[in-house]
Amino acid sequence: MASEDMPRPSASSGGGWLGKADTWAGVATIVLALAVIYVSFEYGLGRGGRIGPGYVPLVIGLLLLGLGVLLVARAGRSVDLLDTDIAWRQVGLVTVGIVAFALLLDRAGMIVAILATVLIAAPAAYGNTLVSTLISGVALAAFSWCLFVYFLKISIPVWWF
Amino acid sequence: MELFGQLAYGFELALTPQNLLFCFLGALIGTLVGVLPGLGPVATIAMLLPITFTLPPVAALIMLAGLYYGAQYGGSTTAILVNIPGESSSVVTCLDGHAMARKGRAGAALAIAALGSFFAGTVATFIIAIFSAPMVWIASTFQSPDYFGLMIFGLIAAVVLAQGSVVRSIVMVLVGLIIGLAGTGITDGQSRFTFGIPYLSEGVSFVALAMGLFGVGEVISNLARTFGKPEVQPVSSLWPNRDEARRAVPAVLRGTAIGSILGVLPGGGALIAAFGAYVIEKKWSKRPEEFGHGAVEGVAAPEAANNAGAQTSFIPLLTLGLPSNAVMALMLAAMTIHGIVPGPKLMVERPDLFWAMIASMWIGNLMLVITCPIDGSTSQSWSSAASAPTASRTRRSTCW
Repeated sequence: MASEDMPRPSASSGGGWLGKADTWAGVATIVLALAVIYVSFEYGLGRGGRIGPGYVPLVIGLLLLGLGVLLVARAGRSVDLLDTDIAWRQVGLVTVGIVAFALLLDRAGMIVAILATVLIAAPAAYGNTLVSTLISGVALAAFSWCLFVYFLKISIPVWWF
Repeated sequence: MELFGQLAYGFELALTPQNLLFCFLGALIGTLVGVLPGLGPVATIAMLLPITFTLPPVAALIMLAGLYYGAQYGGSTTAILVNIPGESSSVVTCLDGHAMARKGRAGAALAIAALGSFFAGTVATFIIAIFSAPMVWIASTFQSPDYFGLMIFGLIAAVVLAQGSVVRSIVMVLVGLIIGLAGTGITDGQSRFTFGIPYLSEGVSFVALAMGLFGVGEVISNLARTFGKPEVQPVSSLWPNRDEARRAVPAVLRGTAIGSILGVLPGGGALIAAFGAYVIEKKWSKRPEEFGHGAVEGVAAPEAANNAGAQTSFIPLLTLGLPSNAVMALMLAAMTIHGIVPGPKLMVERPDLFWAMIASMWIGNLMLVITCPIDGSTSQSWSSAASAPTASRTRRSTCW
């Protein structure tokens, strides 16, 4: 873990301002801060002595805004470079797999949802064949049924009917 | 002495067949998780959280605790034999453990790691038990302002002890506060940050958050990495020779002391303990040039330290309600799921839970050290098998 925290120079991102990690961390923080500030005004701020539900979010939002600006401003001196090699394939497939599970669980039942998730996410790992994927999908579905439906008796739709 | 009476009470509870079973299960799963690179205790506990809903609280916590220290044992096995740390706190064990293995002393390295871990675990169990007595006394005086002070302390500690940029740490603490605000307000009933989604009216579920942050995140980052075909070192004699034992004993003692202290600190735990012990061992050694080339101390001290640290990091959680690392945050979530509030009053309100958990830690350590010879002989097949199906294992777990 510690080794991952080290700043590692990569060829694709030079030392420029746009290639610093802090620049983009700051931009993300500012975007989040503005959203929080905007939303907190809708909740009613109250007064200093009797604060409303929007008061604390507003304070946090303003603090975030300040820190975001600070991050961007100081990014030039940072040695932390932007890591541009993102494993899009893995991120995409795993995310789609989980979303598919969420959408299918109520509509098609647990068994179909699990099989679909495994089939979608399997290509994210190297060395999976169709056979190994099918085996692990069926095994996981069977295991989940035993654990959650049979032993724990959690009310999950097993099939679509 | 009262302490022994309470410990006996804890053992009585921990030795019931059910709790014994879950202690074994936790230690077993922990060892497997530790052996498999790419699946750490944090992700596994995050995935197992939903299952603990249906268990009795004592059994659930015993199992999850077993998983954490079990992973410390398992992680060192692959570190020594294959030079792949199965678990992040075993990274330093790779340096000298694997070097020992290449010199044909793999068995000795495994035995030193396991026995050192067991000794450290035993000491840490007693430290937790001893620490608890003064805490019960303090607990009776705790009021709201004290809890508020504790919270502030926890948030500041999270910033101060985080690795890397301080500004980014503060940002993450604030983002955490924003996520915590979502849901219906306790005092005014106003719903905030729910965006009209009924699921969010009770706030963001900690289990969902932990799954996303620690479970799915770790799975994806491990899938993106590839592991080469490992070269497994053979295990010869399992026992260290006279000279190795003589060098290991003081190192284990130092590692236990360092690990126990670093584990208690907020932000501490097994990982920092292992690194700290290794660095200090190398500094103090009369033969620093041997480190990295199979120094016995370089295996004994960090292995003792990571186990001691893993266990003493329960102290801030159990006594103050402050999670000192990600695993403890998940333990806190597991307690909250069962309606238990960790903190100064835990020992007064749920002495059964407290003492059963402490007793189970020692029992779990004993189980792990007894299975060590079996582990040693099977670990060759284990660890060679471990590296290949990692990808398929982690993928499967994404569905949970």
